[in-house]
Amino acid sequence: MRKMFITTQNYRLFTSRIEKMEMRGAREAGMMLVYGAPGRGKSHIVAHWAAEVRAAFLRANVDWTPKYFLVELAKVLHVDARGTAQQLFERLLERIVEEQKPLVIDEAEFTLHDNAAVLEKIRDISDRAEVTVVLVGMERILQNIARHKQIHSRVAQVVEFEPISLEDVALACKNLSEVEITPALTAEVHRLSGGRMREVLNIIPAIELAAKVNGDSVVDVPDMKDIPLSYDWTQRARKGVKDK
Amino acid sequence: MLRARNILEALADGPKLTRQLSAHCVCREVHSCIVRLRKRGYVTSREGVHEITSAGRDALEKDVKLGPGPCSDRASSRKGNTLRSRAWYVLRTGDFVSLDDMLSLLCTGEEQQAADNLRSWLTALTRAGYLTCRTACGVRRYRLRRDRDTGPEAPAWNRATYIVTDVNTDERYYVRTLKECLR
Repeated sequence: MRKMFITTQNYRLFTSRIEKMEMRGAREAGMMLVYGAPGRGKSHIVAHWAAEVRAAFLRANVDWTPKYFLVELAKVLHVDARGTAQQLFERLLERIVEEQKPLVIDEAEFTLHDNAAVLEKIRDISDRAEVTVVLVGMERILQNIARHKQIHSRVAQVVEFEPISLEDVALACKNLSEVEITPALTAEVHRLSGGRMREVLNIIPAIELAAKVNGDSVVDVPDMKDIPLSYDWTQRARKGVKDK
Repeated sequence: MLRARNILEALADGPKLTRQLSAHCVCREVHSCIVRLRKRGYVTSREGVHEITSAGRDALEKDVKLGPGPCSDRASSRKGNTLRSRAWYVLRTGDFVSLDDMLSLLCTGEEQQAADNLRSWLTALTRAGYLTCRTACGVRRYRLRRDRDTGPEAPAWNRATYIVTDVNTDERYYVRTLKECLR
């Protein structure tokens, strides 16, 4: 399988919202929330954008405290992490204001412990440095943040990552697969993936392997009959194509 | 580069024809060298006669690096959002990453020979001591050594000269070729 980034509809939605964020009226409303079901490419898409803009990218840990977060941020920004939380905060603020780097927090659910103490610290940074902060989390994060008024008023944009579309799957099959996948099989890949890009990326190598064994350069639905391509965790069964 | 410098030194004495320069510099690629110098504004050519410009004289006086390859922070690749600069960001912010991880994350399909480019760069950085690598299940993963995280600019790798240039520290590392490693 070829390796490259696929510009899905979710990516286009995300970048368009980022552009809107840059043009926001209230400078303190600098936070964006990205959420959606697992496997829809949230972290991957945000990491791609972060590499483009050289954002400070952090992955929250389950045991994060405000000080732990500041130390992690200091490591990423190459700031001296010694001293009290207050000294560290001041040093970090200075660096962030100077560099105006956006801040990305993946697995942002973990910032909501202890009455969102870590997220409050992130809000402080966002307010004072006026930088864009992107929070990435699962579906429930939206309700959890809604409980904290002082925080959700700062969230200027909320982006829900939708299940990937058939066009996205077709684009992935075209660009990533080393064998040609027919439109009918592409539709089956879309169905089997359940809207998760992660699943598509697992199915394509399975198709390539089957094609290699059979010596096919073009693969259609009948070629993949009886070959398990995905695993259904709800029914605990392997799934394959439906040959109509 | 010695060849380009020889040409400028020869032209500093007065305008010359290509064949005169060839005789003076004893090198076979005078023409391509002149084209490069002309692009940089150090030489003008008219009807086969080449002449040094004032910028060329300045470069000669100031001992500016004239050849191809790493040229400190003046290279256009330092300024752009290049594949290697994005890959350097990923190395600095991430832990162990494989070449495939980087390609999936960074390549949009517009880059030419992205896999070869990054593979060669990663190998050079590993040999220069920037990266540690480990192989698991046939996949090689790279990690930036924290003591070698020298700054935001990606170290440059020049395949022709086997030199890794770190613009953050102005240090240069000669990377041994595979042949030399095996010797």
